[in-house]
Amino acid sequence: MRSRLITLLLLTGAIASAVVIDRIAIIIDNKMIVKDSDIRRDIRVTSFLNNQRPDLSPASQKQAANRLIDQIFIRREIELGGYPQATLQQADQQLDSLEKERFRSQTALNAALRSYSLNALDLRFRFQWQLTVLRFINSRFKPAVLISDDEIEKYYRDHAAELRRQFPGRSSLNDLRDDIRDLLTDERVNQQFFAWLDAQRKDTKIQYLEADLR
Amino acid sequence: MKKFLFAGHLFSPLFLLLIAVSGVLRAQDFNGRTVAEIQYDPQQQPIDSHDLQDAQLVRVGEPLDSNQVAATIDRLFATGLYDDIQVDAEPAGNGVTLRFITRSRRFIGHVDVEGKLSDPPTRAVIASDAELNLGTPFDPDALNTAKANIEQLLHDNGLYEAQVGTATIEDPDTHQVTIRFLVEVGKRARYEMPVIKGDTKLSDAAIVRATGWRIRFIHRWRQVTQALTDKGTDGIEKKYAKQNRLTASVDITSLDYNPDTRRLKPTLEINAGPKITIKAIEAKVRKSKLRELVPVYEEGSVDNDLLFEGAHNLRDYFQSKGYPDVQVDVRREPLKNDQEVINYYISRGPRRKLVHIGFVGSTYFTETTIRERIFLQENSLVMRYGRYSEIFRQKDKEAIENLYQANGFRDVKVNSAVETNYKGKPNDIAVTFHIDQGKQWLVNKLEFTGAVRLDVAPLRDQLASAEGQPYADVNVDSDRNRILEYYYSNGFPAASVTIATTPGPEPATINLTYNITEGPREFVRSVVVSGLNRTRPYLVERAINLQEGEPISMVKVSDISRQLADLGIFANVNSALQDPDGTNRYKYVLYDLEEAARYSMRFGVGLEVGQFGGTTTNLAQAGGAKGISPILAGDINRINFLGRGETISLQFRYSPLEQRESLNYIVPRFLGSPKRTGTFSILYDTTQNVQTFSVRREQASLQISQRFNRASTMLMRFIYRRDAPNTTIPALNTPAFTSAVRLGELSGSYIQDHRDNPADAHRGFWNTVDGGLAGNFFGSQRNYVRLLGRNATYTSLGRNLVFARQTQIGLIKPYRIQAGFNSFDVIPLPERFFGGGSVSMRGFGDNQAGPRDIGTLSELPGTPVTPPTGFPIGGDAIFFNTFELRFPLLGPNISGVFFHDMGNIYSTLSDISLAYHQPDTGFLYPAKPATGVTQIPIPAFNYAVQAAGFGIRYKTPLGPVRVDLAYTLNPPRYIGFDMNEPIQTLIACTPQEIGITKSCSPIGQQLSHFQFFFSIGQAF
Repeated sequence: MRSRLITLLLLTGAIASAVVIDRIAIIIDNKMIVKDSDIRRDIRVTSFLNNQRPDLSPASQKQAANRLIDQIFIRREIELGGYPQATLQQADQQLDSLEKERFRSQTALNAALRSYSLNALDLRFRFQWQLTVLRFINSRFKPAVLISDDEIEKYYRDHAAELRRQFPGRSSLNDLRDDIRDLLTDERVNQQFFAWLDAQRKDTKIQYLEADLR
Repeated sequence: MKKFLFAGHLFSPLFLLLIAVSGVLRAQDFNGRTVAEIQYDPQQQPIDSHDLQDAQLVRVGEPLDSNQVAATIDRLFATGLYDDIQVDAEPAGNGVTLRFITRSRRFIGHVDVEGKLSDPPTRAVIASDAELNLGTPFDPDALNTAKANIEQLLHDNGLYEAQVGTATIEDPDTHQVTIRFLVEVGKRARYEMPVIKGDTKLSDAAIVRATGWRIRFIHRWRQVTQALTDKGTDGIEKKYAKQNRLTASVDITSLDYNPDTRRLKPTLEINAGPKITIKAIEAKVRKSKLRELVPVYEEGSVDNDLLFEGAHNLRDYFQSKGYPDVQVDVRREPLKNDQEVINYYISRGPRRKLVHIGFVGSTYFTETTIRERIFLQENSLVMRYGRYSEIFRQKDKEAIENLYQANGFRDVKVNSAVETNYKGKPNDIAVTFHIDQGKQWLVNKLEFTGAVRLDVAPLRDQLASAEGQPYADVNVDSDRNRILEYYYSNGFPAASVTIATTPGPEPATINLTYNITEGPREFVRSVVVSGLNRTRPYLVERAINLQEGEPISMVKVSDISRQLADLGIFANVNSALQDPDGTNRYKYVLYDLEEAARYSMRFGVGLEVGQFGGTTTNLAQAGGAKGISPILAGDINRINFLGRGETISLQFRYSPLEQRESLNYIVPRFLGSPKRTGTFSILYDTTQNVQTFSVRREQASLQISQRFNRASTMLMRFIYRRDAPNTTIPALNTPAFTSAVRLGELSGSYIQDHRDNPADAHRGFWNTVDGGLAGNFFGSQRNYVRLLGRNATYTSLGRNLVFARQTQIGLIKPYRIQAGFNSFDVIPLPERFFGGGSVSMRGFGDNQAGPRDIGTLSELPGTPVTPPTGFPIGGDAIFFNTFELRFPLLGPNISGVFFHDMGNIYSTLSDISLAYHQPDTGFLYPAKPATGVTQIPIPAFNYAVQAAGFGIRYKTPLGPVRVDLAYTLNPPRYIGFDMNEPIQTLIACTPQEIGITKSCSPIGQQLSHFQFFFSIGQAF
């Protein structure tokens, strides 16, 4: 009985002491990886920006992993196509806005970041990336979208009430034509962007080394 | 009762507490703790220790930073050597122990195909269809794809019962995976009557005949192969093309295999399309030329683009034929009665001569330099109307501009003008190129930036651009390539070069800067050789002179591949880097070899045509008689004997003139030198190529060939042979000539070949020196020295003329002549010089030059004891000189030659004479004036025979086919028989009958003035 207890203590001790501090979670096309640490950081940054507590549940990790896979596709396309990328200076403007809107001072911002195990650079990178993705979407998908007058008229007919609410004081088709065109363009760009992401996912070999993320 | 480790304790409070404790420890809890130890599991990592040091950012003794751990994982993965990496941390006192638990990536190594195959497909094709590339990451999914590809390939070749299995073996050190495909092919299917659909306009029987899928007459269906299936559809399309249905389409829509009958039923979907007739109107164009110029035939479709392309081609064709004003229009007639007519209306206009090409404004280049680069050509004897077309004129304009730009004239402008009615002649035209050279730009300063790890100073001398020299884009491009080649050769595979130019201080000067981005440097980690089964590894290892740690030069890696291929024992040599895209700097260099089949055989039959005849059949044809000799020749080779890269070769050649068998043992890289080859041979040969005698030769030899460089080779050989000659010429029928003789000879040759093209040289020279020493110290029964030298030169005279010349001189000198011999008979007949023929002296038939048999004169001026037969008996000295003027004759493939050959075979070196007239010996034949028979002066043969002639060469891939007609100005006279008396009758003539009795009386004769030769290759 005593020996069993010792064995148990040793075993559980071993389990208790060895901790996985990082590992490869996903391999994309044998060339790019997503690590556990990337997933955790993504959750923390997203939670911080959303002003939420970090949720490290399997479902949340899976969601973050999928976001990171999409980012890899976009990053690859940006490099291959030579699309323009935002600079850190441009990202700083976003950081300043955040600081002004949610925190009274830089000290308060840094303290909040520390509570999420983040630093200012993590946020700057995130903002830089967001700007880069927006530019990419505009350059890659927007030029191919053409909205016909028929589509604008149809949208006007189908969503007249909604449009009146959204744009009070402007009710005629001619008044709303440009706004509808923008709405439809954004919608079509989004469709194309997500269709492109789906196609990338189908054409890419994705190995999940952690089954929960699949 | 079973006992479980945690039975009864799984939910005990202690266990839950411990689990809770473990949950508390997380990655961030270790941040900042001192790293006490870093372990790797497994201990032997796939990465080289240098690269591991670079990739591992966490260090023992430093505080742990989770960002560094993450970055280390990124770096390790980027090397391409890992499939999985996990980092565990464990408390160690106040610090932390890190453990990198990794799984290595595997890479594709040798791909082998095993099993009894049925060709097609060959093993090589199967391995290639697997699409598994050496050194790339091994993916088990790709293996399934490869297996499916192979199965499809086998099915396409009618092997529907084929089974394909796979096996892999991994090398734990290099992680290279050998992949074996185990193939059982089963029986091959046969075709059966296809299903034929569509508008065929042909009977099913005609279509089946066109496919070739059924054997004619016996009507048995052939076995299925991919090539035959493709050939089937091609055959149908050709059949339609013969009927002018140029747009016919034939597709195989399905191939249905019936496993019960092992038959394959193809379904053909055919659309015959209309008959299309293409005509040239108003000008005659050969049908074959029309097919060549109108792309509709080749493309199998009709559209306006192709028709207009045809019109342009026809216009260019007629312009190049002297019709610069030609107009070509195409009209497509409406489809009528399954027939479509396409007419090309060709209005040729007058035929004009391009009589003058002028250049105005050129001061930097001579007219000759410019003319060498242009297509246009003035009329000449060879080209009556010259060569002119608008396309050529445009190309020439660009060529001249390129020439100037390449020499710094960046702003050059070239225009051309065509003048008709040149000098008042309505059909003469002239083209004048007006060249505005502009300023010549020079390089003021040439600089390099970014060259940090490699010294680029040695490069400066090799660059086309230099300070003070012309600046040209073409030079800059060439320099960029040279710089990159230099970097690639020194282990920088990702090096790049950009070019920056700024204006120099003086007008028309440029400062030139080559900005080099070196990128990472890669080194040889080790060399991995795969695919050796029978070959001894040392053979390959000594060819691979790559050292561990040296910078990787892909140029060197490729050179080694070529050297391995040159061993002649590998069917395929493949080289690669393991994971070339990985960021690791130390990489495995892989050589994957496929051993060639061990046996090769070649057989051939031929026909030799020449001046044959011989003493064994007829003494009346001393000057030779035309004859035909069939030849059967071949060889059987066993390569890579005992895995040592050596070859045993059995060669044979049988013809009425020669029966030869030889067994050779060839040792490449003899005594370790890659440029040295050793050959041991034994030979048995019976030959009668000199019609005076036949000889049976048994010979053993050792030859060492040493190549010094591309042009210079030395051969050293020792030959021991036994010659057993036989002749029926009475004067030679003595023991001295007919006894078998053993000869031991040490000889050597030195060859210097600086010809631009050995098959048809235009420039350069060719020297050979051959010497030998035979003596009793080598076991020889005769003592002599032999020397033969040859010098040939080739000089280009202008654009198309070549002046070629060759001189040969040689001697055989006996020494320490044994008792019973004299200097004449001590050299055995087969060892003497014989000459004459297409490659030595065209004034003679084959081996007809030199001294001839004048019989034996006894007690001169007494009675001759043997009759003179006039057969060539060879000599101990040789002198031949040849001049040739080679010129174009008709188009690019037919050329002509005027030649003059001079010289002879002489009795001895001191007998060499350049005299034109044939001398006499001073004796008369017959020697008995009392008999009343007219006496003939007995001729001597030591004089220079002169021949002039004309030849035609037709260029072929094997070398020029040659026809030569020679006229000999002073052919030798000789005394010989001219009657077809039985040879025994002539031999039986007694001394008293010789010159008296008609049948025993040779008469004065002369060799023919005309000689005709047909052969392959230039004379020299």
